[in-house]
Formats: sequence, structure tokens, C-alpha cells
Amino acid sequence: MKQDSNNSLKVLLKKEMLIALKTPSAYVVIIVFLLISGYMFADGLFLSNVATLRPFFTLTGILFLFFIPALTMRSFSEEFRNGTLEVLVTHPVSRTRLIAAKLLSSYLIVVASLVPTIFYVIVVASLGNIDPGTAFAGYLGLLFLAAGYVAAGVFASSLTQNQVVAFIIGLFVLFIFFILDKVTALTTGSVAYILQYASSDFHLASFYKGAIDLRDVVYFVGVTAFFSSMTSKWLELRFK
Amino acid sequence: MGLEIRGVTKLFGSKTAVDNISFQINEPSVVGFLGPNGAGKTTTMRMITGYLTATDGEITVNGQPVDPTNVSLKSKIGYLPESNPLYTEMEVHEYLKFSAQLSGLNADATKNRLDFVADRCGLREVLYDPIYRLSKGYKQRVGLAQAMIHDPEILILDEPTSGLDPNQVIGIRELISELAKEKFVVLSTHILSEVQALCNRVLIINRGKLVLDATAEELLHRSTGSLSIVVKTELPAEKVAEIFQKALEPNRCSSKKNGGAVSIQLSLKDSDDVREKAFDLCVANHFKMLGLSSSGTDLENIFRELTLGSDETGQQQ
Repeated sequence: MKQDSNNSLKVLLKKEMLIALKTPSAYVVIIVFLLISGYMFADGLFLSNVATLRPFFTLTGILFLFFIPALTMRSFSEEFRNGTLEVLVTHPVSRTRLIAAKLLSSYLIVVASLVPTIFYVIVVASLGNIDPGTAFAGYLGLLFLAAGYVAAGVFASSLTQNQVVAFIIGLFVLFIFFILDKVTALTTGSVAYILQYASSDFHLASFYKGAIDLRDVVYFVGVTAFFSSMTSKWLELRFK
Repeated sequence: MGLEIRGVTKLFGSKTAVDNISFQINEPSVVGFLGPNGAGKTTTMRMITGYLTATDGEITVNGQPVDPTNVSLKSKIGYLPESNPLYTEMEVHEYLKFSAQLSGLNADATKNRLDFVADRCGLREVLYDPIYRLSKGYKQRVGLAQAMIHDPEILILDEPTSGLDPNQVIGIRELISELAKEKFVVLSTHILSEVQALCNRVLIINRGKLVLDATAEELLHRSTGSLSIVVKTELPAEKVAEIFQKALEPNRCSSKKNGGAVSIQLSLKDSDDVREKAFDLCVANHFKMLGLSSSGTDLENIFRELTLGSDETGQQQ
């Protein structure tokens, strides 16, 4: 009657998506994201009168600082607050899958909210020539950036049962990653180089300039892995 | 088959929540876990389910140690936590299917078990309702259905009948009794009559220590009968209590003034029948006896004695 619960990730992911689709907060966050990015995109496009996607990618990188912690803030916080984590972890499911389901569900929502922005690409393409390769690289950069940010947001959510606190911690952590390459002017030499390499915006920029560099990929994969393992470690300590 | 708890201790910082508890359950039965609030019942139950890790000692299910990393063992345990947490956004059937599938049941088994628990827990009519819309009683039944949907060998139920009306309580008790024919059920409760109605064995825990481990029959023999007497007298209640204490030497004696009458509660040692002595005592002291009633073995008395008694010694130390 019982089968190996190898599909537990699928079951968990289904539950996460079901709950996300039934709560208004995800819709609100997505709509706000699309409204702001749409407005800024249109405003920038007609002001500068240049058919380029670069401002869109820069802007989305900044919007993600707010948008992603707002999406991930409830992932673990809500489970702590309602006590549902107690039911969840007494099921035969490993911590890794639990975290993976949280990451994937938030990530899928971010990806889904990027889909309507393809409309901007069509608008820009109709106004002038854009390089499809650069557009593709830019989106790829956003997807990598989102993975790292989601992992950081989920980690922030695992620290507290208060969603607002989780949002603020998430925003703070991401903002530090974002700002690092903006303060390099204050330093010199290898410190500046390290700060630059640690900055999320620096790596996103190299994507939307059209370069798909392994170093940038490694950076985002590294950030994602780092925060995922921090979440795992923290949850382990929490149940001691 | 069996559940064994060996020398289990749990510290939260420097506070000892559970202090060197040991017991074994070797056959299908209902074991009642009793204790005052904060005695360590929930902590012990959480350790059995693997939600918390014991600081010291070992818990084994069928010889295998319970450990947060021992994932496969968890499908053998069904758990209803005290606060009955639920994903309230989900519909009842969605939640129960989720729990079943997460426990590793395939599609057919999930459907069968969903039918079974929907009938047994009386959830048919709310199966497609969102959980947030349910009454507390229904929510409690959803929690219980969740604990048993994967047909676990061991059921850990933290206050399973809280929030239910008397009819529902009886229904759930019948269900638990039936489950206990082939399952190990450990339940905690504050309702002492529930323990007497349901449990084959009683564990009383106080300040983290196991202070009683007795079967239902042993409890019957461990008589601490109680006597309640109402007399009419001008004397203050304390004085009356003193007279009864001196003459009858009960385990505990309490008294309360009620208008012109004093009611006295005695909990007695052994199965002494002191009714005649009490009557003579009233005559000798010119108390007019208005009422006298005795109850035999009373779990409430045992509970009070074991938990309040050690509470007092605890304070003296």
C-alpha cells in the first residue's frame, strides 16, 4: 500500500502552489511588480527615446530587492506562526526537500511574473532593432538573480515567525548584495575587486550587456547554494 | 512492535522540561498521558514524533531509534499536535490528500483512506469546504483524520477531544478505542474521566518526572477513596477541618464555609470506610450532619495527590 515517498517534493510543491494561488498576497505582489515595472519602463522608453531593454533589466534588478522578499516572506514564517511546520516535519520528508519545495514554489511565481514582461520586449523590438541574443542573456541574468534572491528571502523567512520582520531582513540582506559594487570608489585594489565580485548587480549587468560568463553563473549558483544551506542549518538548529 | 522510551531527558537552555522518563508500550492499547500544564507532556510527545530531539536517552519504535533524520520511521507515526495546526486555505480533502501522499501513499491507497477517515471522523459533509470556514469541532476532527490517514502503527494525540461537544467527544472516544485494538495510541488530556473511560494504562507526569505508571486495574486497587461531608455548625471551617484531620487522619482534608454549613472534603488512605466514624465524630462535636457521600477510587484524587503533593514538597525544597 505504501510506496517510496520519492515524489514528496512534487507533493510539497503542489501544496505550496495551491496555497499561493489561494491567498491574495501573491497576486497583489505580482500586480504591484508589473504596474511599477510597466510604468517605469514606459516612462524611461519615451523619455530617452532609445529602443533598448537595458533600463528594464536594471530596473527589474532593483525591483527584485523588494518584490522577492515580499513573495518569500511567508514561506517559513507562516508555518512557524501557525504551527503547521510541526505537522509537516513529522511526516516522512527530508529537510532538503522541504526547503527545495519552498525555493521552487517562490521561484516559479517569480518566473511567472516575468512572463508578461515579454510584452516590453515586443514593444521595444517594434520601435527599433534589438539584439535577440542580448535580450535572452538579460532574461537569463534575471532568472539567475531571482534564484539567489529567492534563496536569501527564504532564509530570512526561516529566521522569524513574523512576516514583516522576514521581509525587512530579506530586503536588508539583498540590499547589501546590491550595494557592494557601488561603494568600490571608497576602496582600492583587491578589496574593490572582491566587493565588485560579491555584488549581485555587477553580475546581472554583465548578463544584460549580452555576455553569458561562467563566472557570473557560478556566482549566482553559489549565492543560491549558500543561502539554501544556511536555511537548512538554521532549521536543524531550531529543532534541537 | 513497540514503543520504548529509555531515560529520556530534554533541556531547554538550563530548564529541564523532561527529566529521565522511561516507559514501554509493547501491545496495542491506549496509554493516557496526564499532568498539569507545563509538566512536560507535549515535549515528550514531540520527542516521540521526532519533532524535537531528546537531550539525553533514547526513543525507539520497533527497535529503530527515533531521530529527525530517520525519515522512513515517521510514516509509522501519526500525530495530532496540541494546537491542531492546519493549512486553513486548503479544502478538507486537499489537506488530507496532501498528508496521505506526503506519507507515501499512492493514488489508490489515498482514495481508500480518505473515504475511511471521512466516514470515521464524520467529515463527509465538509470534505469540499475550505478549512478556515469550519467550526472548532470540525477542525479538530480534520486534525485527527490527518493523524490517522496513512494508517500509522502509533498514534500520538495531544488533547484529541478538546473543543468538541459531548456527542462528538463520545464519537471520537469510540473511534480511539476501536483503533487501539491494533494500534498503539498515546493521548494526553486534561479530562480525567476521559482517561478512565478510554485508557488501559495511565502515565502521570509532573515537573518533567514520571510520577505514576499504572494499568487501569492497578489504579482500581490503588484506592484513595474520597468522602464529602456537609455539617451545620457555628465553628469556623478551619476548626472543623482540624477536628476531622485529627480523628480520621486522611491524606488530605479541605473545608469550606457555605452559609451556616461547612463542607469538608476528605481523601482517604487505602480503602478505609470511615463513614461510621465520621458520623460519630459529628455527634460528639454537636455537628448536625446535612450530607455525606463517598466516592471510591477516584483518579482525580490520585492526580491531585501526585501533582499537588510534589508541588508542595517542591516549594519546600
